Amino acid sequence: MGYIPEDRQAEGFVALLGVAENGTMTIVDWLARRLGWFRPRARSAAMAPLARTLSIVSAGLGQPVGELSGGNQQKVTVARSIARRPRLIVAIAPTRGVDVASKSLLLAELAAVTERSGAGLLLATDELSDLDICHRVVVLVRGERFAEFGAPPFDREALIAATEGLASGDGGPPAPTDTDERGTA
Amino acid sequence: MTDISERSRAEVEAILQGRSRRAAAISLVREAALVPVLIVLIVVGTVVNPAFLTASNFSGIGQQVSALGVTVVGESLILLIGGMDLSLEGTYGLAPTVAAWLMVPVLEYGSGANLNPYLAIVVLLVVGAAIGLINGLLIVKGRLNGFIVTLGMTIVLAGVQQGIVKGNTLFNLPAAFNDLGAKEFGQLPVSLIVAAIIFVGTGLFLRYHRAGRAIYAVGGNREAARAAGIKVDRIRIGVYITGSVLAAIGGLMEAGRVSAVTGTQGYQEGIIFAVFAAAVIGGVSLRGGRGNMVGAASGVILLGLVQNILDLSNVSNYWIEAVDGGVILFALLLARIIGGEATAE
Repeated sequence: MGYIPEDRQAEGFVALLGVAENGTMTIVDWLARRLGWFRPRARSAAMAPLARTLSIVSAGLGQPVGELSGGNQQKVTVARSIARRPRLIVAIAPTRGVDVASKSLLLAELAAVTERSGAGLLLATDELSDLDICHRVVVLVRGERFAEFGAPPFDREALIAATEGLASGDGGPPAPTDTDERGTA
Repeated sequence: MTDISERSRAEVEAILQGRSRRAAAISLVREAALVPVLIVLIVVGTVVNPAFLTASNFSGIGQQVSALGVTVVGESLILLIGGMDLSLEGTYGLAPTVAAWLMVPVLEYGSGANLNPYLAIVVLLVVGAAIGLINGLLIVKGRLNGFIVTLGMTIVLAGVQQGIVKGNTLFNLPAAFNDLGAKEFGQLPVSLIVAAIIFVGTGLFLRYHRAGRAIYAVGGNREAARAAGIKVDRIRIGVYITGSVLAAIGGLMEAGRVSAVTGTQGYQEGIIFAVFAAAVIGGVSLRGGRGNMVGAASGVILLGLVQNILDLSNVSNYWIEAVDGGVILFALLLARIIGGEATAE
């Protein structure tokens, strides 16, 4: 299972360590040779294709992730979660605090990865634009399943109404969280 | 639209490159920062006493700092995972005390068990590992604060050490037990060779082993390491155990060097201050995740030179500790000014 945490500063990466080391942290067991020793070059070799597909901008794969921009930090977090080719990726607000260009790129890459590997993606978000890559959307209001949308394209108006808890006409307070789910490809 | 984002991307890249080049330059300065200080110390030592710049004196310094050095490796590992262990001082004293007590006859305040010296060394290592395990479990599984746990442990260990030998000193230890701290290989003390191997081995481990890299990840950001699948608790407990075993080996070196174990070895010299000072002077961060063995080793050598110069100088014996402490505080300030902290490599 791959995990893209909501708070990347707290859980997404180790700021002092380099891009390659963070991005491959989930697959050290694949990189290690006898008795757990490995060459740093193996790390860069495994990271290079990931950095290319996610267009991670850094001064080099050894640059500490703490020095990168927010969008690139998030890309490293995504790289870390998909490096192991997981069957299921859980992403909590993966585009929060990411610039517009990186946002669509991140979403496209998440969609492409799941498409390619046949993995499922469970995406929890409060951003409507994140839903463009989803196959199915479940709206939760106060932790309860409130509405469900079967197939894209989703009706923006209806989605907004549902997140406000309005669709069934009870007019409750705004939803604390919305969960959207993308089924297996 | 594409043009703009392409351009800004290139700009960002340029900025990042500049920044990282500066960071690289800073880290190089940091690595080399202690070299001029060491040179100054050697010049001062030569001026203070002509006996300073001799092979036999340097061999003596090597023997003296080995015990400290091995313990500093242990403390550095614990600092790297974001912990701290004050009780290495107690382990440094208690582990050789237990081992010696098991070898020495009752008349000389031993147990009379007459244990084989090699088995005694095994016991010493086990005592070290056990203390580290208890600390690790209390801190990691018991979620207690490392400072207060290991402070309490220090007092317990010192008390047990005193209690076992009733305050006496254990002499007449078997040669096999003393060899590590006392023997010389040509002009080279065995303890120095072993300490060097431990420094180099740990340095390589931290750089090229997955568990070594995990130590940096855990110290840099524990939650991120956990989210990436690193077994954080196991790494932390393992490091506490390793640190204590290294402190026990340091204690064995010291016991061999003076061919005795006093009831107060460890806390009498206040060795824990020197241990922390060497690590911090060498750029190991007290907040975890930063530091390396090159720095730690230079910190140890610096303290060894200072101690030796003070011994050779005309400073009165009654004042030597005050001067020693003052010089260490000054060195800490100097290290801070020159380069901050080391990188995670």
